[in-house]
Amino acid sequence: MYFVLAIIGFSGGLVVGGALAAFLTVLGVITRLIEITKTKRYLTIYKFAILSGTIVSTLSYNLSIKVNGSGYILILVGLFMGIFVGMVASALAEVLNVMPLFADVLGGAKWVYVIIFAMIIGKIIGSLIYWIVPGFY
Amino acid sequence: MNREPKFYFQFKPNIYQAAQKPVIVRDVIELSGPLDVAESILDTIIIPAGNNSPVVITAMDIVRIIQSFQPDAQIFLVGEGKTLIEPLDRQSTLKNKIYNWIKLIVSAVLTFIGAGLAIMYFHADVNMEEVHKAIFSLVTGKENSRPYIITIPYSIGIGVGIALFFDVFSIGKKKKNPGPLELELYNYESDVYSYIRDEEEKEKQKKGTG
Repeated sequence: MYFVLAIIGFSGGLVVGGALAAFLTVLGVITRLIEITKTKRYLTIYKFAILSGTIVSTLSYNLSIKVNGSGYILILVGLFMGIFVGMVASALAEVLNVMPLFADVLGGAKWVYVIIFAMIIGKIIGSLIYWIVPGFY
Repeated sequence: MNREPKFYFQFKPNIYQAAQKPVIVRDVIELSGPLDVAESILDTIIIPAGNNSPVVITAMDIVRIIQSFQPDAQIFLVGEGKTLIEPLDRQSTLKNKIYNWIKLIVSAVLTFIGAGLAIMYFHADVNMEEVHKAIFSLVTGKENSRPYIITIPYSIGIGVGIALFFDVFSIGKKKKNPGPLELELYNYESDVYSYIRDEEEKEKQKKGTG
């Protein structure tokens, strides 16, 4: 019976892992990152980073591993989490084609950057309110 | 030996008609041919002043104009066979300017509030606080129901991530590689351009036969 459970778990992991890789590829977050940093040569490292990140986080989450480390490292971890989520959010907005519409209404591409800055500040303040003001969670 | 004069012409890209000015052939094409005839062809008015709707000029229109000057001409088209002339109605009156600023401010406020709301919805939807708590106890070994040490850098990081994605750090600099936004805008504009051009051409053909 345990064997069946293992098969079920493995199949579930296979599908979720494939879906995650496909999601990251389709959204274009990784490609954008490679483009900005001009590190196309080191594509293997990106693949390895995705793979190892997924495995480490899944294992530590499910096996409830605990390390007694300094809390200050979390500042860096939190910042990187935020950068990634910000990129995913922008990629999603990009897929929805909102920005060209704004450019058309406002009559020029240069004004779109005002909209992007409004979006950046709005996201930061919205996120800070969610985490700091009591009652949201 | 009597040789027929040869004319080569090519449509210019991105043609706009200034308000209260006619469009002459020179604005629309580049022409190579016998100089004296070519000059008078290039000065022909093709769209009268005061027109304020987009007009399609096809290669056949140009051929007819050249033939009216030189009936025995051999005419060759280089490149695409039609072009769109858009009226330029950018009067920068004070009223227009204020209207544009209002549009900009309303869109910016809308985006500001919408972006903030969307990120809150997202956090609540994916139960992010559970994950943050789990990461906190994973690293420090303690429990904390409100790990600000993760959540505040995380919030700033979201802004940095968006800025990175749209590459806002290099605004104003001349870039060779377009960002995703520039590409998206370019595709959108050229789609609109070819739509208007093809629609106007259909209309013109209807008028021609009917």
